[in-house]
Amino acid sequence: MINHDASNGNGNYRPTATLSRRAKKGQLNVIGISAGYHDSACTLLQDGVLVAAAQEERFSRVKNDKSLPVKAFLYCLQEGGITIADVDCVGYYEDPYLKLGRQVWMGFMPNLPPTRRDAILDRLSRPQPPQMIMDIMGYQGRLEVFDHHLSHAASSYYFSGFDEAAILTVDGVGDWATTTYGFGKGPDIQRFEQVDFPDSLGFFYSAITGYLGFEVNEGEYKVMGLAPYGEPEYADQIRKLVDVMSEGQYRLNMKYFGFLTEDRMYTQELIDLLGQPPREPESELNQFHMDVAKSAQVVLEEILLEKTQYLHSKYPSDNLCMAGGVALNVVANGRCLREGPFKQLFVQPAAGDAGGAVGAAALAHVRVTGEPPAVKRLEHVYFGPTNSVSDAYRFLKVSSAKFEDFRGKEDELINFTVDRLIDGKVVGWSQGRMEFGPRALGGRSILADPRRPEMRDRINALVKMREAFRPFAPAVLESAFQDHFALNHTSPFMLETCDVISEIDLPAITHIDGSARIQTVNGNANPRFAKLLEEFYRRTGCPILLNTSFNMRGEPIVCTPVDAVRCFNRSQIDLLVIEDFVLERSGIPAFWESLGHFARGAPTDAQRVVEHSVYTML
Amino acid sequence: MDRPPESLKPFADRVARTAASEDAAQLIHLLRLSGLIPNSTSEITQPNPPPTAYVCEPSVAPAESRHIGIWERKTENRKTSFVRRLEAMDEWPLWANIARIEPKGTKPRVLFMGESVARGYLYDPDFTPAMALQMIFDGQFGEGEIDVIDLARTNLGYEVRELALAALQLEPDIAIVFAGNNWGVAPPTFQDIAETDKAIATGGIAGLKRSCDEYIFRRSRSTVSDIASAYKSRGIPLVWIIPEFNLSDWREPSTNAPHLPEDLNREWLSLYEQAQHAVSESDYTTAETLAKTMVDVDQGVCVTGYYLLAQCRRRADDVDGQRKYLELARDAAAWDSSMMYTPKSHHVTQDAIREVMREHEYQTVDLPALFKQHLNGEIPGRRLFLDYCHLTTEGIQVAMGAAASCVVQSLKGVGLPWYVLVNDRVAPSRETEAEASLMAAIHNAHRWQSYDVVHHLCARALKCSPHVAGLMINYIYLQLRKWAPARMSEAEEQILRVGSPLIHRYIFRINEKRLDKLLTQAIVDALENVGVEAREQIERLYREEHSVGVRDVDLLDYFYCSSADQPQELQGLDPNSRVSSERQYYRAFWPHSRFVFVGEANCTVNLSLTCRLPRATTERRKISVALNGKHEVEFDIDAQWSSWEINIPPQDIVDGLNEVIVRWPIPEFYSDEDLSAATSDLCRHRLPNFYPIFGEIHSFIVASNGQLAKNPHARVEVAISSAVA
Repeated sequence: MINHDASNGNGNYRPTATLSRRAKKGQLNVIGISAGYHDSACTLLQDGVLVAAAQEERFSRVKNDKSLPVKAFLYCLQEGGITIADVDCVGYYEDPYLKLGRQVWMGFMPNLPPTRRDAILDRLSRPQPPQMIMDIMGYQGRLEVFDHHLSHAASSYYFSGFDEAAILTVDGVGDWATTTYGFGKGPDIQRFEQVDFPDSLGFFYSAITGYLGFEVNEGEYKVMGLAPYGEPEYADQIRKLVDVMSEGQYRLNMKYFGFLTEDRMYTQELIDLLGQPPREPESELNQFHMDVAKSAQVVLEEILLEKTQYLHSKYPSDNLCMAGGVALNVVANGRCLREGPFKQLFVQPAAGDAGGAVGAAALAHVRVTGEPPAVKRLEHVYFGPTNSVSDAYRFLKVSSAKFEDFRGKEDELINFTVDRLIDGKVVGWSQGRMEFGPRALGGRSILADPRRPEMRDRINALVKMREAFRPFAPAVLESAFQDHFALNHTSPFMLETCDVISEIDLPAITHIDGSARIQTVNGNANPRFAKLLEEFYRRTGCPILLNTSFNMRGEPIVCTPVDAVRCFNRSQIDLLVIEDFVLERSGIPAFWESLGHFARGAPTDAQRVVEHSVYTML
Repeated sequence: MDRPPESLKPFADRVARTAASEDAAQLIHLLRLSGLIPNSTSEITQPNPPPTAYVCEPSVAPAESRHIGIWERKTENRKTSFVRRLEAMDEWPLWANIARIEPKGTKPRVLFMGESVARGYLYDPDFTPAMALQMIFDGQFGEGEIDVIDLARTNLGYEVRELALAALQLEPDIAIVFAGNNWGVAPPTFQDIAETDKAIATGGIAGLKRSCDEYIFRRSRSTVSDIASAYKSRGIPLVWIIPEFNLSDWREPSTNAPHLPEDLNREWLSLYEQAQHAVSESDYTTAETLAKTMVDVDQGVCVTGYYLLAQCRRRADDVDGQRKYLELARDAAAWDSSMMYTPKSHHVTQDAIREVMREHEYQTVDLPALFKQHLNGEIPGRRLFLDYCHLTTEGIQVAMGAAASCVVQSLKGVGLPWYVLVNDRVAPSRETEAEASLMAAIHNAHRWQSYDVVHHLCARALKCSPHVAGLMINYIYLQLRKWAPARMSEAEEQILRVGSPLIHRYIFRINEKRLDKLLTQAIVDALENVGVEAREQIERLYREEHSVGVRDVDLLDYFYCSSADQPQELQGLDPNSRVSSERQYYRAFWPHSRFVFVGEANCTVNLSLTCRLPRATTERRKISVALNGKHEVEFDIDAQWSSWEINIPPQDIVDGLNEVIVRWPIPEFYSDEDLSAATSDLCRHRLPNFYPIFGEIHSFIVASNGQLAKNPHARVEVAISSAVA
């Protein structure tokens, strides 16, 4: 420390400015970054501990934002109490040169439309991510680059709590690979086989998604949700789309897929094969669509089951780790676990590309230290920004909104909220740190009483504006879940489906096939959410709440208190609980209604917006 | 073939690895740009980029377009009118609030077209130039005897050509165009890039400036010529109002010199510092000599030297000399696409309009000459302008009086001098005048204008109508409540309750939340002058909302940084202009960087600074940090990020705004490399950097060390005034 101006010349002691080089917080600060496709994200591992993780979309308010996650990076630094000077290493989640190679290879396709060729040339003439990390983010230290599927594998294995496990990664595409087989042992991850682009189970499912009139790269879970309404009438036709080969291999029958050359995922041949035109987006769903969805789901499950059996034959472990976008198909995962050879399954909750940032950080940590990250099993995903109680208070105070202040009165807050839930109100619930990944797990959630038959339609009408067929998910007290759901282990990340066995009628969260995708909640991971469930349980005998993400259709999940209030204002949610404050609809000032569609941020920056008609892979 | 051959995968990887360098990527880009690699879709090879403003149907000859701006042709009962399109609703506020343009009747029809200056920016919709024109005609010919059609659109550029051609369908008897402020340099085509590259390579930034001036002249000429020819061929008289600039009061942000050859940047900086010193000593003779050398060194591409010269000429009571340098300053930086564009008509634009209109034997209202005459030779300033180019009521009266004179001459064959038609009754209500002045004060403050100008506008607003006092106070509340969005605060509700449509239109659209140091001071002072005491409550608000005792403050946050008098640095931090592909940290373009925070006297604070020198710096150099003018610490840094904690003793902190200055060393200048990089950025349509960088900051946080006043609300002291002083 250096003292300056030790005296002021008149004999009186006056303290002087002191200067010191800032002490570094943490021995090893590793940043992980994913960007460029969709759901760009940044994460911070501090001495091997996952400290912060967030998707850029939550800050930019551009759904699926693909741009370099600068705002998420700044958040991670802030959360870790460090500066850019303290960052020891950045792990980037995919090899840009392999990815570029794959894109160049796509350019060799005969009769490629000029627009596609231009897009490839455009990719070749743009700065690559390592350069952008240096130029745009200002980072100038050690940078480690890992291939896309290795990042996926690491995002699951290192956070699974397993000492060893087989690892399966499946997605659309990253660099070249679309599916990889491998295993983890101690700090090492080995892979022994991969399926390369364009053969991709992710694209197989996305093609059906597009055919069914949903947004590619966004609506895949809708297909999964639609499937239980149908019968696998078209399974035989759909099996023609994929030739399942020996070992880990499979091959897409490309005459059915248009993504290499067209502006849609499928070709006329697929339309001919299924015998009906593709569904127009937003048009009515009929039995045919449901049957196609079911058929695609069945075929996907068959292939995944077979390939997990193959993986087990090569690496006969009890444990399986999965990641990649396809690993978000919880129905298929459940079947692999039930019918497959593995006894335990861990899926990275942010299994898509956002989770690649976590994997890249973990791999960078291993590369720097030779040790795995200091993580046992991932216990929660509350790695995003926390609500500032004082900010929320200031905001509400200077608005004309009428709100209740429960500071220091948590029991009253819980009681008040439970009263409203029992009354059938829909509650916006913004508490503590935001979740990382696609699921709202009690940090930024919309909650309701699952026993009410009308609740599904009501929430859809009030806020989600989504297809009526899609089920909502339950959050259930961990201490009571087995009384209501046929599952023998906890499911803290809403990544597993199981049959509803409750004696309570739960129409709002029970899917047509009697299943539910559950989240088990305990007081360690989310104390206030657990308290809410406990009180609801005490008062109603039902330890379950309907839990869906706090966002309007087409928008990212809310992040800040202001986002929450804006979403609340624009939707018709009955009640908003932000930390210790409660805002009821009747408390909204009249002039807020004139704000209409006013929302934070706008997708004006082309660098951020994600294409949803076709996976161009560019 | 359903997929490319597998065997080509290694080759594809090889291509990718070869291409994956900055140079290779640049090469591919240039080959595409030049057309050597066929490029089917990119806009960069198109000679005329599509219009940015929607004025007629795309891909249809304007004269045959079904659209005229937001209006669409509708034929009913064999009569053709133009009806406002619902699909264009987002654009409606940019145009006159007219639902339908009726078919031409028996009355003479006057078309009035142009850009925001013609729209009556900041008065619209309550009062517009077209309304003024109509009032003048009503006074001369009887009410409604002349049919004025208002086709002016805010944010209209060279697309005025398409608008004017499409508007021929309205069968005007005469047309008036008031445009030329938005005619800058468009995104470059390949030919432009080639010229730009050559211009920079041979003449540096001065070469670029010449090239840009030529471009503007060429494009201005062709725009006016196309319109004039079309109207001439149909025998329709045309009047062009040539815009003038607020020469006297408007000041562009003073920038450092851009990259200059042969280490001249160092010499320029030295001259600048000496000139500043001379001005501070009131030695204007020396200052003028130094400023002239500055202009010689930078070859007239920088406003800073010209403003110094204008200042010196003003001291010498030399109006013509002052006007000359102010005009040169106005035209100095047309080349600079890295700075926020200020609408203005350059001398090349004015010359082009004059030249073409003369060739077509059409009349002009030459505002530079007209205003000079109206002001008896004075340099035009705040009396006629609300900001850089938008006119006050008086400015509108004079301009429209002159335009009306042309129309009367043309339609009636009567020669009435313009001043006969200037009428005090052609004016908005006092309330509108007040609100427009308040909006102008906000606009000027947010574009870095002086306290004197902003205070003048505030005072004028209050003089016109006392109701703006409430608006002013609520506006400050709106701004200073950082944590609540502007659209959801109680202050907004109050503003909506009191303000007119004019306020509703502008106050949220042109506003970005910020500390608004200068504006707040101007408002508080102006209120005090009319007996409204607001200082105490505003100072309390400062403390409650922004004191470092309440929370840590991020000095790079646009909210605070925007009050620190460093507009050039702020370009990269503005959340509205920021794009994800640009650098996302602070860069200093001057040897010193300024920041402000709200403190409390006798409370120690800690500054946490993470900074580095520019990448090309090869050795460790000293930087220093000063607070409120007192040198606090200095330390060595290099081109790697390093983080520092600076603990400021309590006696150095003042109540209210405190100013931190970081002083950077003079860097090593690598002008050739930097200019080459800027050219590359231009080629790629990325924001180029034309200026030397002195230092970079990644984070700068100020936090209280805890020894806060026990009752901060009880002590209300000089917060704002100390800051402005």
